Amino acid sequence: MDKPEALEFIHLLYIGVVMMLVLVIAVVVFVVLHQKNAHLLQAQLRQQELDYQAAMLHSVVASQENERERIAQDLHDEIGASLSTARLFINQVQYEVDTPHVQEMAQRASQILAETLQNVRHIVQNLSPAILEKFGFCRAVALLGDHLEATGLRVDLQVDEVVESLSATAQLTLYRIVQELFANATKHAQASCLTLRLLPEADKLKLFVADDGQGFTPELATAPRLTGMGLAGIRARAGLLGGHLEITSSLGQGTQVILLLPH
Amino acid sequence: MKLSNEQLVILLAVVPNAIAALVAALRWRQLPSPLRTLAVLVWFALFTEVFCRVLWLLKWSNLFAFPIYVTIEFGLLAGLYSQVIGGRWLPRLRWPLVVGLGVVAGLEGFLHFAQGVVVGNLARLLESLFVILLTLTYYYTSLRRPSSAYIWREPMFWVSTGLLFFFAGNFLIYTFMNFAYYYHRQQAVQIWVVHAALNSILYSTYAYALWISPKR
Repeated sequence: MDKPEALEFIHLLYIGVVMMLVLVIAVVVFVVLHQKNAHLLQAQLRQQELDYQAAMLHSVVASQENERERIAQDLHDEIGASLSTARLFINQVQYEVDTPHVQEMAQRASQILAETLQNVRHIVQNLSPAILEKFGFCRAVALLGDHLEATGLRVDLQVDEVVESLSATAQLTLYRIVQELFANATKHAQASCLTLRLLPEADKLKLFVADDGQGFTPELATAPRLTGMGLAGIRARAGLLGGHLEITSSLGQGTQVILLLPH
Repeated sequence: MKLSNEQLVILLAVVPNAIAALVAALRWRQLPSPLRTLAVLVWFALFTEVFCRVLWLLKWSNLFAFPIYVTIEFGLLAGLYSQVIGGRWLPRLRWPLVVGLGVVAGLEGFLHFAQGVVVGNLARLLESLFVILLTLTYYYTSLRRPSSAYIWREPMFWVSTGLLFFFAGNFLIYTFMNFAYYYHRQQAVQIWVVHAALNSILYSTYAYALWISPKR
């Protein structure tokens, strides 16, 4: 076999190496460009998915509100009206009969009906957003506080009126969050003291709710069977408001909830 | 001892390796697990390079270190990519590939030992092929699951690009290595100059990847 010229061989080798490197550069450029496009596409898909989830959440919350409104209306118009009429009849019986035993029974029945009517009114108030339209957010939350104080809980409320500049939907969503937090404090936490602050902070609106109840562990907070829809509902509504929610709790140390809302 | 220009270039190729080793030492605490493997590889490569250069200057054969270096280098690279690429196939294949390559490199070294300067290229060619496949798999994974719009901000992009440059060039160099030794002994040193240049590119990309590495 003849020996190829030395320079010829070295040139061939250099050309080979350069071609290899050009090929590598082509691969790298292809990857850089396509990776950017793939990332953009992935981001678009993720955004579409998030938009879809938000739309679904909006729709679920809206239908929940409609349902609540319908139930509140039915309770008020049907049950409330019937109970009021029944109470009138029983009061009438109380005055028209002479038998003391029957009078006493009628009086007790009237009291029971009065209490039931009061409960129905509370339920209607809780269910219907009419309370917000009628009294405004600050007064509605104050009324919630009053109801809690009536159960023996010490409640410290401070709500800035700036919250009423939020849209009606946002106020209703925030009101539902407060309702749920109050319900958690009474039903699950067995708290004796509850603090709520809703104040502007920089360009945000900060909701701070703390109780001195029994608290819970992070495992409990994420176990769907134990938390039910309470915390999940709060998170979903906070998401709808575009807020940042932070829940801090530990056993025996109470619970603190901070919600930062764009304002 | 008077060194030719080519020999000087080959000796100076250790500088990017030393810089990469220094960067690895400076950034060690912040490095995530895969890049710690890279740091170990850089230190090991520097140690081997210095050790082999000393033997070279003493005119002792350093070819016995070659199979050891190839096996450990590939083992560390396979470890690095099995952490980055994910999936189960690479962790499963990793050890059989490393052991297989070690056996091939050992046998090749043993068979060529008597022939002195002839370099066994089969192990290096296989290593080049495997590493090229690993880097291409990394690129494929990045295209399938892009974690950022700017892949050049990822340290592993620079590691893979450096490796692809180095081993693509290496593949050609080791293919022609014995051909060059056989026909043009005097010109063969030119091949090592090209190899040194590729080595410098590789360790520069290593150093950059270690430098830009995000905090753990």
